[in-house]
Amino acid sequence: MFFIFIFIYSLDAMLENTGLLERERQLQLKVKSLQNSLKSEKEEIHKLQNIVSSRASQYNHEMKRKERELNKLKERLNQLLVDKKEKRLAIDVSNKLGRADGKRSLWKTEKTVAKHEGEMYKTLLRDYESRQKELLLENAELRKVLKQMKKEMVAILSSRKPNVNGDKQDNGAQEEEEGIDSCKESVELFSVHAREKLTNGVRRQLKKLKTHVERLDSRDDSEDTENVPQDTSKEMGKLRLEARQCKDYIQKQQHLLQQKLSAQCEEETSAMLADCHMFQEKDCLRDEWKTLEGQRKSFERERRNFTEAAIRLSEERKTFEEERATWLKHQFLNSSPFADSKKPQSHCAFQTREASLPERAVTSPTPGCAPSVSSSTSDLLHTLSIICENRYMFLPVLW
Amino acid sequence: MNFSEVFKQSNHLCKISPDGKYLATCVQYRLVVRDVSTLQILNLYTCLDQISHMEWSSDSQFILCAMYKRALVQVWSLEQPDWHCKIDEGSIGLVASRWSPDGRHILNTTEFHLRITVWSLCTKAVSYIKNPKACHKGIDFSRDGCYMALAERRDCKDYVCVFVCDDWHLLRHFETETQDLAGLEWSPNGCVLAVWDSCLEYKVLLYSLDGRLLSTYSAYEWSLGVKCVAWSPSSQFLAIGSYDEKVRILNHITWKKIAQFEHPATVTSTKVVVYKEVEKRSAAGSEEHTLHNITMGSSLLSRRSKYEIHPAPVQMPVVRPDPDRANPKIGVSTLAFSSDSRYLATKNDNMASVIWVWDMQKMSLEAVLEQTSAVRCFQWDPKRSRLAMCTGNTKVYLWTPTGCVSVEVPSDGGFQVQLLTWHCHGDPLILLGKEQLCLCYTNTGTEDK
Repeated sequence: MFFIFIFIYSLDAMLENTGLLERERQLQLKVKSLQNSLKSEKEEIHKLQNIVSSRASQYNHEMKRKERELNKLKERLNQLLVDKKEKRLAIDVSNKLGRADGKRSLWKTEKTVAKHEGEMYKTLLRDYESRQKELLLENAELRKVLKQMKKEMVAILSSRKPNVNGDKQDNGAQEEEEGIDSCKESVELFSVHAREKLTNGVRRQLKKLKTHVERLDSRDDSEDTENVPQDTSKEMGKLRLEARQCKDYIQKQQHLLQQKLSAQCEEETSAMLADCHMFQEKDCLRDEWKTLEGQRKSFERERRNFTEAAIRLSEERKTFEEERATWLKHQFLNSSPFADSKKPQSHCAFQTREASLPERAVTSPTPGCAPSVSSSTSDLLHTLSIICENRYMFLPVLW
Repeated sequence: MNFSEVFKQSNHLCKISPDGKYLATCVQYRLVVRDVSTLQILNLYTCLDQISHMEWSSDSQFILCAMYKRALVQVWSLEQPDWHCKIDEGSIGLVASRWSPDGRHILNTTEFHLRITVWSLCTKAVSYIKNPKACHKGIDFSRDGCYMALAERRDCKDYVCVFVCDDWHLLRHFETETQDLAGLEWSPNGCVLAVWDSCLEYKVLLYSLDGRLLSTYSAYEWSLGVKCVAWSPSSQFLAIGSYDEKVRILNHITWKKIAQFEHPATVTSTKVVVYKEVEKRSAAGSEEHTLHNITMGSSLLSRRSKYEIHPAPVQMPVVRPDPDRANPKIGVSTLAFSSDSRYLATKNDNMASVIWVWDMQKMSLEAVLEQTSAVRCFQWDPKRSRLAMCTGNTKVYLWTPTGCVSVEVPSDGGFQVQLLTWHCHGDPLILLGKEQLCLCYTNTGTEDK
């Protein structure tokens, strides 16, 4: 029981403690804020005190000055009362002067008073008129500028497609305004109504332009959030590639530049070396050219030789063929039993063949088959036909 | 630049005639009139006492010499040197004397500002104006010379009287809403009268020529207020310099503030050209010591100086005034517009060696000129955008939009330039020392940095 009591008592104490701590914290905050306000109030008081003290010193100064003057005045009064000889004021001029403008002075009458008033008001009116003229000019300029601004804004806004329905309605109003503007230009505006219309028009255009710009901004933002994964990655890839290419290019350029810079210090020798290399190359090339020319010439010669040889060969072949043909004829004539009897048949056979052969001889123009045998025509033809046939028969074998 | 001979003068009384042909100087009790181009003495007049004030009449024919101690005014004629005129104020005393715009009347302010006596030289007649106010600027003539505005104090209230200078007819008389009127000034076009209160209250009132209150302007309460006021020559702007180190510009259409120029201790804008005067001692034996200089004797003590351009930010030397004294040396005390209203030059009293030049077209700071000592006087050229200034040393300084130059005044014994004024046609520049006077001929087109 006793312990329970102690326990409850300690709990109470703890709660009270936390409560007290909280209160202490709040009070501390309050103290701080009060201190701040006290500081600001003190500063304010200090400032006001300074003002008061400066004003007080100024008042004192003035008071002293006035007192001094009063004393001087008192002295002078006493002096005058005592002094019997009074010096009167006087003017002594050797001769009177004429007026500066040469005119005669006038008596002060009502007319002159009225004239003075008139002059004064004339001066004032002149000043107001000139000021009004200046202000009119300024107004006209500003109005011109406003109209121009409105026109330009309308142009900007009408160049884009009307996205919202509201625009269409405004367009109608715009057209009406433009219509009014065109007839306004010929007439000067002084009425409040017209002025208000102009300013309202400009304000409206400006608001439209503002909403348009805001819409553009928001559209850009929304677009970005939609296509972020695809477009951006593609773009990023493209950009990365471009950057790499550029870097490589730059590196290459730098490398070349460095080379050039390092080579520049040995400019002369390198130039000479380059020249030497060039000359060397030139010589090599010349030699090669020469050899190639030689080769070409030899090739030409050989070709010519070959052609000559080929011609000769063909001629020789022809003669050989002729000889062979005669030899074969002889052989044939000598070897065949029916040489006499078959002579006409063979003659006929030859003749028949002979008939068909010239065609062949004509249709197959091959080198070496030039019919330039100088014997009797029939014999010639005969031998030719044999040669040709033999040739045809033996061509695949020979060649 | 060429400098003329040094002449004697006393009391800084040296004035050029309105037509620009003659130069009148006072030496003790003598009045010397010279021709401006040749500087030959044309006339010499002798007054009865030491001259306290001297003024040309508007037609450049007469000169007024006032002797306050004797309460006498003497008028001299240029055409007829033997013509004489003497005005004696008697026992009532004399504190101020001035010409009327037509050059035929003299207005004398008596001691204690009891009254203003208007003397006519044509009729020998006298008229009085009662209760003129004794303030910083209580009387002003319009530029065309038709009207005169006068501040009046009666029954502890301020009034403004507008007179027609032709016949001194009182055109308008109205009460002003000021606690203690400190000054009034006509606008250059003569249609608006600016009236301002003493420094204890910031209040500037604008009245039309016919006496209607056009506008009231008050920037703040309680702190010390207006220190100086200046109209732009085109009448478009009214510049108000105050004790809070700011200049406020009002426009002539709405009479509202259109710009505020501040004079901070640190100039941070990079568009401002900061010229700093730097002195360099001329070493003995250098080629600058010509024979002429050595015979002069003073060149060893003189220090040549030149301008250096400092890039922003630049710190200005600030002098904190004594807070317990009246009329503290803080705030914008002098304002001067250039003749084409393009520039405004200002001086802030707690940075007395610095002149600030503001561009009125851009409404921003154009240049800052920091001198080695406090600037005593500065004035714009009446024809060109040139600012001449002096600081009480032997140099005269010129600023133009293209650059800045410091020129030493050559003289034996050292010529301390204390005041300067331009000739009405722009050249020469008249420099006044303590008891000396010198003319400076600026050759246009050959200025270098």
